[in-house]
Amino acid sequence: MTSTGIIAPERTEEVVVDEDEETDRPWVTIVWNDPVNLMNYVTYVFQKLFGYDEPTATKLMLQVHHEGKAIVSSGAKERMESDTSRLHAYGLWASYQRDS
Amino acid sequence: MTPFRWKGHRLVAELDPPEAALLRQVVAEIRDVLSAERPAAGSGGTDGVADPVAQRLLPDGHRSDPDLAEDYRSLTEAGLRSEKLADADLVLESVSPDGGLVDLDQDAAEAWLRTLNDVRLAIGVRLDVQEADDPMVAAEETGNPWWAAYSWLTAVQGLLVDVLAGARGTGA
Repeated sequence: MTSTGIIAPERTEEVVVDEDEETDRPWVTIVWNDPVNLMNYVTYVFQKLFGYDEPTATKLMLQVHHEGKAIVSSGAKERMESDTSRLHAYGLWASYQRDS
Repeated sequence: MTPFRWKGHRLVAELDPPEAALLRQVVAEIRDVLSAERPAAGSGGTDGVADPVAQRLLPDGHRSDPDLAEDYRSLTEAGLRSEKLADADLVLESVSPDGGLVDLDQDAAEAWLRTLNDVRLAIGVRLDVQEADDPMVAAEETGNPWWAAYSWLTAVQGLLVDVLAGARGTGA
């Protein structure tokens, strides 16, 4: 995932700074490329577990395949643990971490 | 083998006796791996490092923080093991040692998919399968029957995904 690097226009109102930035940084679930898992299987699992439509699931699968990994979900830590374990149940090579 | 196809709301296939024997053997093997206790930290100087097949079937949930990886294991590993064992048992129950008809409902077909993937992961670890490998070519070049087994299991899984995904597409 690349950032476009767009800078937000200068704000006039005061920006509220989170007191504990650490807890607000979201967590992400990542699927890593694996030489065994089949492309159609990975697409199928993304649709099944996350409800992605086929084009979205295929795009994520191809990102895993070509770039070595893709973020497949993001949110609270507990949800990412759960998503990772659901992916492990299907044998996908997944892990979760704080978004970087 | 007659590949999986829909028959009403069920998925049916037919296995030749050697195919049934192979499938039962590889599923029984991952069953053993999944039933084996994970070595305790420090035991036998392995410091809790599992057999590489177990490590691939039950990977770390976090890559850089050992504490988080351990938390993840304590939360999820027992559940994952029992789910995978239940899937493997279901596959074994659905295949007669003599081969013949395999007749699955959709949940059983999902269990088949997950188990086929796990057995391919296990064989993949043992053969050190790489992205560029062509299993058919490797089977011929090496004469190692596990490449042929891997190739066959890959075909069975790939076709089963297509049949299941096709059903989703048409809402059947």
